[in-house]
Amino acid sequence: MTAPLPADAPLGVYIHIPFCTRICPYCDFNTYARQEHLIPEYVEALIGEMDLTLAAIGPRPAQSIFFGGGTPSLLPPELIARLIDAVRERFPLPDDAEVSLEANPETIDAATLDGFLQAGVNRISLGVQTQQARGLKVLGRAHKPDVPERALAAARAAGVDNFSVDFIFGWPGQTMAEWEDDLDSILRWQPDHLSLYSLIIEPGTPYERAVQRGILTVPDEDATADMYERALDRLAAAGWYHYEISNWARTPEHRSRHNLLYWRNGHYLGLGAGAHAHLDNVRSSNIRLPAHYIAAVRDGRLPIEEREELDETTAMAETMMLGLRLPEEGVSATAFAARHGRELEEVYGRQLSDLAAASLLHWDGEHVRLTRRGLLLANEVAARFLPEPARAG
Amino acid sequence: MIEQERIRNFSIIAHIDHGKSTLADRLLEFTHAVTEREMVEQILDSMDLEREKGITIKARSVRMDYQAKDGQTYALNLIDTPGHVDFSYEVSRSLAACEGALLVVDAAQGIEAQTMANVHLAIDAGLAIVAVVNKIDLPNAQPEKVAHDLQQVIGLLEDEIIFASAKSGIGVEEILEAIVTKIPPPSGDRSAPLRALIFDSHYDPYKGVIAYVKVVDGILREEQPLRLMATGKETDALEIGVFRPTMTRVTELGAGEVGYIATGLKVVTDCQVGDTVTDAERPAPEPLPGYRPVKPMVFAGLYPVDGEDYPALRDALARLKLNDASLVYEPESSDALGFGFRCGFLGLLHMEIIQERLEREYKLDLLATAPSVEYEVLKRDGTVVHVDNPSDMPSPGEIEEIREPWAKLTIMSPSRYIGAIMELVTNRRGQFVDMTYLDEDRVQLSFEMPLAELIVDFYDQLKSRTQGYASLDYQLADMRASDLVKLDILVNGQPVDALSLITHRDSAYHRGRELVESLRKLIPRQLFDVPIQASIGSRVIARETIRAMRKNVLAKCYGGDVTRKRKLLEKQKEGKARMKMVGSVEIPQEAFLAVLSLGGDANGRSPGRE
Repeated sequence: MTAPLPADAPLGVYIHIPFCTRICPYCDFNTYARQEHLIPEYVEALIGEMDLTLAAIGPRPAQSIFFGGGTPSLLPPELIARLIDAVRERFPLPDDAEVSLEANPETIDAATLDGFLQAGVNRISLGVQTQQARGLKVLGRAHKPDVPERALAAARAAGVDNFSVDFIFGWPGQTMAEWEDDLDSILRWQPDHLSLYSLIIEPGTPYERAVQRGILTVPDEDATADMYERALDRLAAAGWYHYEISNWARTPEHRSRHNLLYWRNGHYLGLGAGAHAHLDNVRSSNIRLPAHYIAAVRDGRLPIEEREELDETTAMAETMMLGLRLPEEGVSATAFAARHGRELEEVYGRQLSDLAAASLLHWDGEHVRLTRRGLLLANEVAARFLPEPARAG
Repeated sequence: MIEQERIRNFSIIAHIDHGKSTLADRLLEFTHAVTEREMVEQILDSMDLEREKGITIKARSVRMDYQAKDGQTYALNLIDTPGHVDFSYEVSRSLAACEGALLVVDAAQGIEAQTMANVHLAIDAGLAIVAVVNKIDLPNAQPEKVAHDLQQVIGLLEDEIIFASAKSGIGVEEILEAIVTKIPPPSGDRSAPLRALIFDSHYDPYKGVIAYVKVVDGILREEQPLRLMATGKETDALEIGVFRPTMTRVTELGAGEVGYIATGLKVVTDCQVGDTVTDAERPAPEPLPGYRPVKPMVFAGLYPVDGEDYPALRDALARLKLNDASLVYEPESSDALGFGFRCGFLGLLHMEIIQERLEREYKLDLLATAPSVEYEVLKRDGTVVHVDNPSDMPSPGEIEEIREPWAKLTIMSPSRYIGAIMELVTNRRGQFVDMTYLDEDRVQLSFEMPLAELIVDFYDQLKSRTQGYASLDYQLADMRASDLVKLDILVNGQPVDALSLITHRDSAYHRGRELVESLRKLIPRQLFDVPIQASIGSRVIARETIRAMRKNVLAKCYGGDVTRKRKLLEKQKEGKARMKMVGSVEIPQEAFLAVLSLGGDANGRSPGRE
C-alpha cells in the first residue's frame, strides 16, 4: 500500500468519546468534564448517527475502528461492545480489522482490559505523556509515574498484543536528560507502537494564556528539534520502524492501520460530537456540544455542523501534505495519478525540484519522501503544495 | 478703510499650555467678535491635531473692534503664531506683520526657551512687548517671581507687567487697554505703491489660495491686478476681506490693515509665506525684507505598509501640500519597502504632524525611514552634491569631505538638571557655548550641535531627563565637516536600502551592532542560515547569523481534522506572502517597523557606554 489510497478503499470509522474526568491544560480537543451522565444517551446517539449515515451513503466496507477522545476508556466495556457490534452490523468489517481504543493509565485495570478485549478491541493506546513526576504535574495529568507500568503489565497479562503508548516532549521546563529518561522507559517497556508528540501550544487553552503571561516557558525550537532528533536516533538504533513523523512501530505489521488511512488521504466516518469525517471529497465535522449532538440525532438529522467540498487542487495538496508525513512510503506517483487523474510531475514538478534542491525531500520520479531535515520542516514542505496566496508588493 | 491711528496689530507669544488660546478666546468674547453661541472653545486652534498636541500649527488671524477707555473704537488684529521651534520662519513672518506682541507666561511654569526665542524675534523686529503673567489663580502660581524673571531677562519694568487669569477673565480689559496704549499704530504710506506681506495662506476649493496679508504700504482693492514679487506669479484680487473671525468681504484694505486676498491661485506653493504682494501695473520698486524660500531640514521616506495604498498616499500628500507650502516630497522606491515618497519637513514635529495626519485623516498605514538631514558632500573631483537620502551617498572612495548642518541650541531649565543636559548634549557631539543664570535656580544654556543628532529623539530625551522642565529652541547655524560614514545593513549579503544611515564614525560601531542584533531577533528563521551584517563601505563592522530553521512540523492529526491542519498551513503561508523579500529572505513588515523606530533610543546613549 502506498499513499494516496484509491477513492474506493474501505472506510475508517472514527468514534469520538468527548468525556474526561478532568481537562488537561494543554488540550484543545472537543472534550468535557463532568458530563459522564450523558454517556448512555450519547452511545444511543452514536448508533443513531450510524443509521443516518448508512441511509445517506449506503453500505460501504470498513477497515478499522478507532475510539478517540476525550477518554474512551471511561465507557464501560459493554457500551464499547455495543458500538463495535453496531458498526459491524452496518459497515462490513473484516474479522481481523484493527479496533483501537485510547485509554488513560489510571482508568484501566485487568478487569476493564479484559472487558474491552471481549468487546472486540484489539489495540490499546495508552496516554502516558511522560514518566517524569514534574512533567505529569505541569501537564495536568491525573496519574503518577508508577501507574503506566502497571497498566502495561495488566494489558500484557490480559493478552493485549497490540499496545501503543503516547508521549509528549517539549513540555514546560523539560530537559534533555528528562527526555532521555522517558526514552529509556519506552525502550525498556517495548510497546508495539509509539507516538511521540511535540507539545503544541494551542490557541484558547490555559497553556496559551500561561505562556503569553510568561508563567510557563516551553523549550524552544532548537531544544525540541534536539529532542526529536535524539528520539529518531535512539529508536532507529533499537530497531524501531519509523513510519510516520510522530509514529513508530515495533514491526511494519504494528503500524496503526487506522491512522495510516488518514496519512494516505483515505476516507473515514467521523461519529460523535465534534468528530471529523472525510467522504468522497467532502470534509465535514459534527456539532461539538454533546447535548446538541444528541438532540440533532434524536431529531433524525445528520449532526453535521461544517462541511467543505474539496476541489481537486485542494484534494491534491492534501494528498501531499498528508502522504509526505510517511517517511518510508511517501507519496507514490502511480497512486497519485490513479487517485487524482493527473501526473504528479505535471502538477508539482516545480515544487518537487525546488524542495529536492533544498534537501528537504527525495524525488526519484516515482516516490516522494521527506529527508531527515524535511521531517522536522514538514510544514514548510507541505505549504509549498498549497495554492499560492497573493504576495504583497 | 480705517485710519492707521486706530489700528493695532499684535500677536501672542506663549509657550505650549501657557494659555494663549484661552486668552485669545477671552479677548474675542470681550470685544464681541464672536457671540457666545458661536464660541467654540479655543477658536484659534481649529485643527484637531493642534488641539490634541496643544499647539498651533497654522497661523490664524482675527479682527476685533474694541471701544477703549478713551472713547475711540480701535480695530485690533490678532495674528496668531505657530508655537513650535520647527516653524520659526513662519513665526518671524507673523511677527513682521505686527507692531506689538503680548507675551504670555504661565505664573506657575515660568519662562521657557521657546518663549524667549520668540520674544527675541519680536524685540529684534522692533515690536512693543506687553507682558502678561497668566494663570495667577493657580494654587502653585508664583506671579511675583515670574514677573521678576521677566524684568531680569527682557528688561521690562514692573508696572509694564499685567497679572491675569484668562480662564477666569481676570485682567482681560487691562490687556486690551495696554494693547491700545502701549502698541504703536502701524506706519506705512497709503499713497505709495502697494506692498502687502503674506504671513499665511490656506487653500479654499472654491476661491483658490487665500493669502493672509498685512498691507504695509498703499491700498489693496478688489479686482486689482497683483504680482507676487518672489515667485513672480500674477493674478487678480478676486475678493478681499477681513477675518471676523469668518472671512468678511470688504472693498479695500489700506496700509496697516490685516486681511485676506482670494488669489485664485491653485497651489499654496505659488503663494509663499514672506512674499510681497504688489500692484502688477504699479509695482513697488523693492519687496519687503525677510523673505526666505521654504527649506526643509529633515527628510524621511514615507511608505505605505500595504503597497496597494501607494496611490492613496500620493493623493493624500497632494492634498496636504495644498495647505502646506513647507511640505516637499518626491516619489522614491526602495527594494525593501516598495514605492513611497521622499519627504522634506521643517523639523521633526512637522514630520510627526504630517505622518499623523496621513494616518488619521487619510487612514493610511505608514512606515517612515529614519529621519535624515541634508549633507553636503565634496567629492574628490571637486564637485559638491547634496544628499538627504543615505542611499544617494557617493561611495567612500569618491568622497573628499562630508559636511553636515549644525544648529545653535538654547535650553532653559532648572539648574539641578545641568549635569543631565550636559551629558545628553555631549553624548550627541554637542559643544557647550555658554550658561546664564536667570535666577537662583533657573539657567539658560547655549550649545552647538549637529542637527542630525538633534532631530532623532533629542527633545523627548531632554524632556525625560529633566522631568519635563527643560525647554528647547534651536536654529540652523552652519555647515561643518565631520567624520561621517554611511552605514549599510546587509541581509544575506544584500544591502537593505531602507536601513542605511549616515552617522558619525564614532557611533557607527554601536549603531551597527544594535541594528544587526535587533534584526537577528526580528527576522524569523529561514530555511538557510542568514548572515546579518553592518558595514561601512566593504568593511563589515558587526555580524550576526540567523540560524536556519530547524523545526516546523505539526505533531498530530487532530483526530482526522485535516481541514484544520491545512488551514494552519495556509495561514502560515499567507503570513509569509505578506513579508517583504530582500533577496531570498522573507522579512516581516514588523521587523522594519521595529528597527526603524529604534533609531531614537540608539541615539540617546553614547557609543560604548553600554
